Amino acid sequence: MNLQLLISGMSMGIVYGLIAMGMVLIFRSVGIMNFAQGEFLMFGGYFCYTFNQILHLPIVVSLLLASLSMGVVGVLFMRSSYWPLRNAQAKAIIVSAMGASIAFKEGARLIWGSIPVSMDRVVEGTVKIGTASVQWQHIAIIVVSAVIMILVYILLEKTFIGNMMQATAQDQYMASLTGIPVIFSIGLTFALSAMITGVGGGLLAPIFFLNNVMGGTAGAKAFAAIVIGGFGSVPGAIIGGLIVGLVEAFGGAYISSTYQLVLIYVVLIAILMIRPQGIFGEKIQEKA
Amino acid sequence: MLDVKGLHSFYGTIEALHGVEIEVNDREIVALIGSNGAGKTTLLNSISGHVTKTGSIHFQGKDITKLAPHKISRSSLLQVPEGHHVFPGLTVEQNLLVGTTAEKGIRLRAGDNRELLDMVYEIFPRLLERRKQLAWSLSGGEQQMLAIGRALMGKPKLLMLDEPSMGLAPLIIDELFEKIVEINKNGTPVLLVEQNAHLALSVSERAYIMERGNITLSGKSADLLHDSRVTEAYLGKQKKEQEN
Repeated sequence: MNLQLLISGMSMGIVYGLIAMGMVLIFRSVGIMNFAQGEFLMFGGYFCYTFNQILHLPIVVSLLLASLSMGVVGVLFMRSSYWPLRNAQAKAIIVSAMGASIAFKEGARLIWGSIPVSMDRVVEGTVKIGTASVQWQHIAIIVVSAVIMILVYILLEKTFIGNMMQATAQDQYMASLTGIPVIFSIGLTFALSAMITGVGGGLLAPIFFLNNVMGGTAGAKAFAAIVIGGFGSVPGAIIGGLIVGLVEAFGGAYISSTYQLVLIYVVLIAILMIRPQGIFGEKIQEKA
Repeated sequence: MLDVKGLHSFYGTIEALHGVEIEVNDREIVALIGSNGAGKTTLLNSISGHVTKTGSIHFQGKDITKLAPHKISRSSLLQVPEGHHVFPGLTVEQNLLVGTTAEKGIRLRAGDNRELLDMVYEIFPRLLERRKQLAWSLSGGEQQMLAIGRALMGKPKLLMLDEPSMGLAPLIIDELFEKIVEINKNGTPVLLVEQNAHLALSVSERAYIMERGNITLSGKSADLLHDSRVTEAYLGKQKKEQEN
């Protein structure tokens, strides 16, 4: 087992897990796959770049501010791309999200240009573990992402407002009959989704450089993670993300780095042949 | 307490209610009876703010005609819609706690709701046994109890129940209606929509009969039980169904 590949694969995978988790939160809330989720990653990365490289704030502060800014972006995205179409057919909303994704990409190019940029690492340098030398940033990515995932779990399952968000996601009509303002609750879900995905962009940037079209492939890999993990399942999204990240790292090293994306889809198809519902099913099941 | 005047409701351009007038007073159980498609559910959904309408709706002297649905619920006018609407992915207790939003609003922590929970568990002991279970896994009758219990958590000043007997076994219906009478005895007025006219008339003080978007008859339930127009249209048929 190559420890270096394992750690870098896991760190990439957990970021895919963050994107996938963001997508699942929105999917469970409004029943739509958000095809602009990858752009949240890119935008979050650029916000982080702005705070860190242009305003010279420490990277940890920049990540926090970028995440908060993405919360605002998430609400604006909900208000402009989802809410006016909430009673329309699902495909109208999907197209509107695709349109938003183009707007995000071109907007980023106008604001930050098309030259790839980088920023500070959360922790500099490498650490020797046995014979392997592992970048601290990879470990930082895993730790920060895991902490975010735990926080989201606590928010949704252990707090009242989280239960309220889940209730709204499960039955909007009934939620408004219990006195929950539906637009507020959905807005909060979009904000949370954009916040966690945006942090992923800030974490990846020092390793990969940021550019305005990075969201496309990242979003596609996150989508594969969701399908592998089981549509609509949050733990599934995380496990699926890790699988995608590890396949990418090991496949790239041992088989072919050109065909990384192909390998991911081969694994996806193989898993779907054995378990069409993905690894985890839905929390809510149909009663027999 | 609740005063509906000249209510016209619309689905798009189609008028579903044609000038409905009803009122509910303190401590009453008022039944709303009618066949499928008469507009009973539309009336409740109009009162709770989910249907486009003209006319006026006053609740506790306040005009709520133009309020957003969640604000109507926040004024403690609570509807339990037909078809066992529980939050399927939350536990029984989480469902109940979400019900407190109507009274206490949005907040980070639920706070202390022990007394309310105990009150609901006392009325529906079955919910106490299942408090940690996800709501989708409950039986139909238990889901209906949960839906009513959740509304009670919001301290309703008026409870609107839409077809609480729908899809339930006769024994469970009897149990449920005993509970509804008990809830009313504790001081909550109830507007009860039912297709089971006999049952609805026997638990209520007054009743309205609805046909094709109009109130066609109203009066004391005890009188309506023996009114030939009611017995022919709604009770006779049911007797026959029971005989079959």
